[in-house]
Amino acid sequence: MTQTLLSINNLYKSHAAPNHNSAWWNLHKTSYINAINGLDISIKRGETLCVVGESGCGKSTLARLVMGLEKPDAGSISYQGKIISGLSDKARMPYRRRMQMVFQDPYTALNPRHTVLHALVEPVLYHQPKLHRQHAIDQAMAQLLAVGIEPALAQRFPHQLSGGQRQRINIARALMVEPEFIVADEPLSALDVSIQAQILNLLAQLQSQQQLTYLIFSHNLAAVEHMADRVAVMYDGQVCEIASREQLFSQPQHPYTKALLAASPQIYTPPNKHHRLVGDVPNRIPLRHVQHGCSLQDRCPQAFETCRHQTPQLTPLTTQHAVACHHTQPPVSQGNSHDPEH
Amino acid sequence: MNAAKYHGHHIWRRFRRQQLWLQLKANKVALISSVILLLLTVTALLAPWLSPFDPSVLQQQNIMDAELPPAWHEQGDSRFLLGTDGLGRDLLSSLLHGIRTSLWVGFWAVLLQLTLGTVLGLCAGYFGGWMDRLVMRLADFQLTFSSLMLAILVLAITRAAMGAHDYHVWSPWLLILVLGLADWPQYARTLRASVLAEKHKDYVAAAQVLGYRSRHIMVMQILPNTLSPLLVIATLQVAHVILAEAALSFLGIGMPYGNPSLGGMMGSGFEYMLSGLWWIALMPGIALVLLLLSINLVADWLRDALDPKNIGPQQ
Amino acid sequence: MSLHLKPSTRLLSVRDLHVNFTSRWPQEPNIDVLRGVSFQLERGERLALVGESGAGKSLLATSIIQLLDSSARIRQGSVHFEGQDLTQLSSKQLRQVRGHRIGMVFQDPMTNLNPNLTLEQQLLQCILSHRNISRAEARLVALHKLRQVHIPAPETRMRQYPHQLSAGQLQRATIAMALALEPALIIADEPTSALDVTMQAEIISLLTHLCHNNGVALLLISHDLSLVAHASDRCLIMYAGQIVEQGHTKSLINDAQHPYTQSLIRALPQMSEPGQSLYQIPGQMPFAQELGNQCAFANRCEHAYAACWNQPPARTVTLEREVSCHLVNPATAPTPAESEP
Repeated sequence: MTQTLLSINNLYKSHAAPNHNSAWWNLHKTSYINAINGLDISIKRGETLCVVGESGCGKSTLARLVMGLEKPDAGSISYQGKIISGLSDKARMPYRRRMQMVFQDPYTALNPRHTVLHALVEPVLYHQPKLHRQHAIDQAMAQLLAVGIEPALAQRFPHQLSGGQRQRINIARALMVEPEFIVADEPLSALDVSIQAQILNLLAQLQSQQQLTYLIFSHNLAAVEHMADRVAVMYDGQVCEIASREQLFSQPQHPYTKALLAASPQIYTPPNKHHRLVGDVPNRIPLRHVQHGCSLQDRCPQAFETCRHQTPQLTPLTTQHAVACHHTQPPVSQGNSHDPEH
Repeated sequence: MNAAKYHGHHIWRRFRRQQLWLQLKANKVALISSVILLLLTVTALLAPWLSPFDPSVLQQQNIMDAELPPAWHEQGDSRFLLGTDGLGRDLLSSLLHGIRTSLWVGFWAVLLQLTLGTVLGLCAGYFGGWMDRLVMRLADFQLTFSSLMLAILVLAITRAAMGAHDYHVWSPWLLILVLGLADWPQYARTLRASVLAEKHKDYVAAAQVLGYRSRHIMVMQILPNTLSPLLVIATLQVAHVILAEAALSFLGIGMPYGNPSLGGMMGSGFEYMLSGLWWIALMPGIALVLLLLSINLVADWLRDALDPKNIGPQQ
Repeated sequence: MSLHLKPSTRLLSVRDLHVNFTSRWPQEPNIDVLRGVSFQLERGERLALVGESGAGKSLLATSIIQLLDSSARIRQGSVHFEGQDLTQLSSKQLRQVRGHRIGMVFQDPMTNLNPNLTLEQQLLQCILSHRNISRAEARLVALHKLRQVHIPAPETRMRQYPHQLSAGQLQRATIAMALALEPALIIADEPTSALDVTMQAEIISLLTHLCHNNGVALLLISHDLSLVAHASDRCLIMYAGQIVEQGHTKSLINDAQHPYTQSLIRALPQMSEPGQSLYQIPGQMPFAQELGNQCAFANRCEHAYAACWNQPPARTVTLEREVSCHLVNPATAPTPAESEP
């Protein structure tokens, strides 16, 4: 019986927004953008959950919340049953070693003034100050070999390495403290397609060798299809569809999921003109009025009246598949008493 | 702390890899400037032993030797290579001691500024919030006063309060303190801006995720990436402080009588310019210019040379 | 559309281009980074240039428009555009060509445009610097272009600053600016790498359709073959500063002949079963300094044999394809003994 490793419950987080269009009499008011709008996800030990979403959906915020770099406004995040989301830095420390992160841009994720070896040795020596320096160096070199970097590169600086090599070193550094849970925020998007294959293979290999659990954020659907056990699709701070890999790719239900799949480039199949969304991902300028209903309503080709009034809830279709869309569930009719504010 | 020892060792190995010597050879201007600076520094440090006379010992001064031109002049005396001043003191000896004083004051004052400015700038940038606001208001307050004006004010008041004798003893340190405290905002502001920019980069987030404490992140991760502008400011400030000390001594409120100072020499020699005794004011002036120029040129080169992106040709 | 083009339809002709960087260390010799690149582009044709980072794609683009870094130099070769050799033109003459006859779309939409000017100001600046029309007319042209790139409410958007627009809209605006003077060629260097998936598909589709409808030739640079597979007529595959294969895109992806092209296609995740290890090309692309007198791909190629290590491959030209590989070259093809794995 695989246990739940990470559990996100009803998470809310908003950011103060830059006040671009405000008249001078409104400047003192801080506007807020809801980055995470009620999120529920759970991840089992040993599985790979991929969260798919485009910029503005809140995945970077979610990654930071999970890693404890920010505190949520409401809701909680639990690790092995214990709540970790509001902990102080000191209380968080044991969890820091068990949960690590791989960042999107391999170049800025490495300190430009530190050599590769230093970047790997530092975490070991920091957490185990009594350890002999040579032991730490040995561990670092072993880790470099495990990620496929030749030892001769250990003395190099980040700017002397290629993108793929940097990303491997990021992964190696995350593994130095022997974590069990790894969050990867778009680990492939800064890399070339041919290098993406190397990193995907490396991640899969490390997972089976070290029994890791992955939470991977990516908008690269081809890679997600290859790597994921389960896939969650995020839009505007909420999960709109979550399913096992086979189900999501063979029977997508949510219009956004369908649009993403249609837009994903395929080498032998010409692009699909159907399922296109209108317009762009919403510009993160806070609206003058609170928006009711589904956040996709302005762009969805299938939007109808209910979509403008009611926010769809995530409803399970099967044990493995849940969708938040009015088209896959009967809209709840509440009569004319529930009248929107406009 | 094992991590710190490793870090120190690592810095040393990296320093050697920078191949500074090769880079220095490649840049002619920097090479010449550093040679000049080295000469000036060495002679200044060895001034008590190198200089033919001791300018502070009154017995060595003979009023009969006063106002002699440099040795190559027909009326010059070979004992006094660069001539003598109005009181018969050897100009060369005074110069050497003067340069020594300048470097001394420059070094300590800048060290004080650098330390204070770095600590405050780092904390302001990294922690933000009330600390940031407090430090920036302090900096604004400090910057509204011209450092020279502030120095004059403080020194004049202290002299009046202490009396001539005590002032004589304490004034070099007081000068260092005043000049050092005057300009810390420059460092703090620049560092704060750099820290703000670096703080949002992924490697800082990675450091936080790895569980490092704030102090470790500030000093070990962020600071090395923000040193470049600090180094520029620090070296320019050495020149600035030396100039400020010269100016104050020129006005008579810097180094007291008896402590040789390039500015002071220029001040007292100024009156003789119109009489045609040009060497008394000009020699210290030339020395000052040489010192400042070489410092600036070497500093400029050093900043570029220490950039890790300029590691030598072989991988 | 054969590879041997008639002079009248030939828009761009790059011949034997060699570009090197001057090393900052005097003891290091100047190494060629682009090593003998040759290709041609017809009017209205869409040409894709595909390669990994470091292969020299962006360098080739900047070499064509003569906007090289101060440390880079064209050592040899020519770039003929509309009958003129761009490498021989003066800066004044080049300014006539850039923007007016050749438009550029760069990668990062956030930094493509001047953050201190509104869209209107930038578009007008661009149009009025090359065309002698009134401001009102230029404004109409600008509006028309913005509509063509499907920016909603262009009159309002024009008066906004870049930071008020999303990445997708900014990239559309960049395309509008590139098309504003009705150039003969647009060079788009990774125009969608900084964009999301849905936006990528939109922008590529927009770019290729606009070019097709207006008869503008397109040089589309990307590291992703699947992105350009349906957006280009012909395709150039670049590796280590050289073009290793070129041909019609459709036949190239269905029947790739160079081992590197074949590896690129095999490495795509869609070519492997989920859960299975992906095909990865072993090793990595050599730096310019590491290249010797051999095929640049030899150390990563699974078909490498004796000839690959002894001399660089010559170009084999057929009606459909140009390939630089010993395997397809009848003169240096492997013997039966050598072709055994």
